[in-house]
This record gives sequence, structure tokens and C-alpha cells, in this order.
Amino acid sequence: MKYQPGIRSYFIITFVVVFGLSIYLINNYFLNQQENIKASFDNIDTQPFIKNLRLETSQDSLLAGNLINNMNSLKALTTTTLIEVKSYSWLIIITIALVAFGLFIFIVMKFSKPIIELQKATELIQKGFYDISLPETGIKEMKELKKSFNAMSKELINTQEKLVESEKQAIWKDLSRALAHEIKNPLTPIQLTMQRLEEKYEDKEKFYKYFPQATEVIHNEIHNLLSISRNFSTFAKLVVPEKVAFSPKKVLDTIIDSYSADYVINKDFQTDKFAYFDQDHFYQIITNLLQNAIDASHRGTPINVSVKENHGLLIVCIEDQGIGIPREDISRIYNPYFTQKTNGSGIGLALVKKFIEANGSTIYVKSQENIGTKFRFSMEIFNENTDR
Amino acid sequence: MFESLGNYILKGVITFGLLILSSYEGNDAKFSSLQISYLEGAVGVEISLDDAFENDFEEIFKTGKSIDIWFNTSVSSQGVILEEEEFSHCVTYNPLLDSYLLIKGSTNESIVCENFQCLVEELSKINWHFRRLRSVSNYDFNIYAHLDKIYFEDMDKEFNLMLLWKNKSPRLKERIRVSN
Repeated sequence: MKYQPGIRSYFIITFVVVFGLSIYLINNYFLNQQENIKASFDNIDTQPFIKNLRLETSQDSLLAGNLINNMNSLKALTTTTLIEVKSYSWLIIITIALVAFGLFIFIVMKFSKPIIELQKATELIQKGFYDISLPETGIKEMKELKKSFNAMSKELINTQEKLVESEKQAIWKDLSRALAHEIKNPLTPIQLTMQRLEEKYEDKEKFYKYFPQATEVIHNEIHNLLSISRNFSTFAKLVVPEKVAFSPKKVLDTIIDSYSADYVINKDFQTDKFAYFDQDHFYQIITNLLQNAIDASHRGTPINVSVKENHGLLIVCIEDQGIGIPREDISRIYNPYFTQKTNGSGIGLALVKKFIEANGSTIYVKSQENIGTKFRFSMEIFNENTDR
Repeated sequence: MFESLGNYILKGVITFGLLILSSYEGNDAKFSSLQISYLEGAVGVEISLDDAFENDFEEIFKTGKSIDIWFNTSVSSQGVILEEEEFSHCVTYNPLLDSYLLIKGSTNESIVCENFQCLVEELSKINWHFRRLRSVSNYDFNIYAHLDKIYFEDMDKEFNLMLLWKNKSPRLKERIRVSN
């Protein structure tokens, strides 16, 4: 993973560079000043004056000697001071740097800790955990920031609740509208048939002649209504899977064989392993997906059905080369009563998704218009240790 | 015990820092050119202390104070010290004559040097001798040098002359083989 320096790293690097440079410049400045003073003293040469002195008594010589020694001591003092500064300045600099660095780290931690807390809290919010409250501690600005963050978190929870509520309402609205539409479809022919029967009632001959046709229409449409009601009740029911061990290959063979006389269906079964899944759900999932693939395909184009083993799971794929799903519709395909087919109820894929999820798996779809669609889902492999 | 250990560590850190981090050029004093001569019943050792006085020593000597350069010598055989001695080369500057008086403690010689270069040459030559034992043919010779602190009375300031050697005492250990 590529290392990304954080706010602390930037602060510390900036501090080290600025501090190091400042200390270096200050140190150099003072050293130069002292070098200049030393150079001034070095320029003083007492010897020419001493040579011209008339030292008549030993007392004169002693005094002159002391004078020169004092002068030389002063020179030596500047030299020794400079030596000490040059020798020990690093010790002072390092001590100051360590103390300053320690203080700086303390301050940076004090500042960055709440920022990192906020960053982590933001990440949690991004993952959908809105119920977060940060302790409102630290310096004034940080306290304010945390207070605002907590307020935002509360506001997000409220907004989410409202959204969930409105989403629920929208789903029910859509469902009711779709259901009403589905019920209306068979009711219209029933109503029209009834009207025609009423019209023909005066003329017994016409009435009797039309009556069988009318009852057939009404019977068919009532059958349709029952089917809609059954589908809706299946969809609305809580699905509890009854997982059993079975051979998906065998079930798929049976289903595909019933279609193979009329359609080109390629089988690619790479494993014989048993699945641990609700067999009825599997049957309904496959028939729905296969029927959708057939409906979407042009006559004669092949449909591929495969079973593979991957990462300890059985992967089932049904792939067609049909008309594909338009991009704007793909997010709605699992919505109940959403369909692009003229004769579809729109409940098939919703049930497929419901069955797959009830069995602890997920469905994956990939589609491209005029290229085809691929549905894929996984099943647990049965083994002796499978938790039943 | 802990105090002395602490001082030892601190001294080590400072010496290391002086060598690595100090911007002071100083003097890298070291012993070299060990020469042996056989005297009657003794072994004479002549050794040179190089690169020890070139930087800043002239100004220190010219303060007129008596400056001692201390030498500690010893000979041992099989871990047993046979002889050891501490002596100094003492330098005193005469401001009126602009000359240096050097008294070598090891030989009790007094030398007057007219200039600093001459002083450095004489100061660097160390002569010492130790008793020769009939039963011993291998002697472990050991020498190290160190400097005192200097005190400027008028300015009430002390200066550790070892800084001129970057706090590092020059040392030499060498085995001397004497054929009996």
C-alpha cells in the first residue's frame, strides 16, 4: 500500500525544517560575530611597542610583562570562548531541539487527535453508522467543531428516518399502483363481456350463442386474477428456506431438457458437488432466469448455463446474447411489478432475488444493450460438516 | 556508583558529540614514532606527540601562565605494572623576550624556544626510560597525555584545555621486545 503522509507528518516535517534552518542561521550569526571580535583582538600586536620601551628597572619589566600578559589573556579569553561556543553549541542546540520537538509533538497530538477522531467518525458515517457522538472536549475551536459534528450526526439520523419512511411509502405506492394496474387488466375484459351479455340478453338466440364464449373469457380472466393474487401473496410472504443437499446439475438437466427441443441451451457443468440450498427455491430461480433469458433472446441464439466451483462455493451462471437491459432500468429490475415484457407480471426477478437472499446469498447481474445479460449467484457446497 | 556511571556516560556522550557534531577544528593529537634505545640497565623510549599544538595553543601559551602538558606512562608485563610515572612538559611564556621556557619533567631539561614552531617541536618530543629486568623480555608500554584547566583570574573564568584536543586524550599502547 502506498504511504500517504498525514497532517501530523506535514506539521512535523515543516517544524523540523523551519526549526533546523532557524537554529543553523542563528548559530552561524553568533559564531560570525564572535569570529569578528576575535579577529579584532588578533590584530593587536604589542611586540613592536614593547621593543621600543625603555625598561630601566626590574619593576618596569615586571609591569610591562604583566601588561602584555593581561592583553594576551584577553585575546586567549576570546579564543577560548569561541572554542567553547563551537564545541558545545551542538549540545545546546540538541537540547533546545529536543525540548522544542517534544513540546511540538505534544501540541500536534493535542490538535491532531480530535481531527483524527473526526476523520474516523466521518468514515463511520460514510459506512452508514449515523448514531455517533463525539466527546465535546479539547480546545475551544475543536469543541465547537465536535458540537457541530454531533448536531450533524443527529440531523443525519432524522433525515435517514424520514428517507426510510418516504421510501417505504414510495414502495407501497408503486406496489399499489402496479397491483391496481394488474387487477384492472383482467377486470376490463370481464366488464366488457358483461356489457355485451347485457346487450344480448333481449335476443335469446344471440345471448345463448355468445354465452359460452363470454363464460370462457370471464373464466380466463378470473384465473388471471387468481394468479396475480397468488404471486402477490407469495411475494409478500416471509420466505423461510428449507435447505437440503441436492445435485444442482441434476435439477438443471431436468429443467434444460424440457426447453432443449425449442431453444439452444449450452451446458457447462464443471462440478458434480452437491449444493446446500432450498431445492424448490433453486427450481423457481432457474426457471425464472431461464424464461427471462429465452424471452430476451432472438430465436436461435444460444443461452449458456454453467456451474463452477470457486472459493468453496458453487457459482451458477445464466447468460444470454439477447437484447440486454437498458442502463436506466437495471437498478429497477428487482422491483416488484417492474417489467419490460408485454406479457410479464414483473414479479419473477423480485422473487428470484428474495429466494436467493433468503438462502444467504446474493444475485449479481451484468448487462449490455444488444449484447446480452448475465445473472450469477452462489450456493453453499454441501459437506458432512455443513452446519444444518 | 550510579552517579559516577552517569558522569561516565555523560562524558562519553559529550566526547562523542564533540567528535561528530562540533564545528571546532581543534587538534587531533596522536602519538607516533616510538623509538627504543638501550641504556645501561634501562630501556629508553622516545616518542613524538603529533598534531597536538597547531591550533590555538599559541594564544593560550602567550597568556604567560605556566601550562602543563601531562603524560602518564607505564610499562607492564603479563598484566603486572612494573613501573609507572606521571610527568609534565611545562611551558611558560616570557612576554618581554617573546620566547618560551620549556621544562621537561621526564628528563629535567630546561629549553628556551625563540618561536612557537621551535616550542612545538621540542614539546612534541617525549623521552622516558624504565628499568630493564633480566627476567622480562616483553614489555607493554602505555602512554597517554592530558591537559589541565586554565583559570583567568581577572575575568573569573575557567577553561578546560582538553577542548583543544576535542576532549580526547591521545593514547598509545605498544609491545616492546627487549633481547636479553
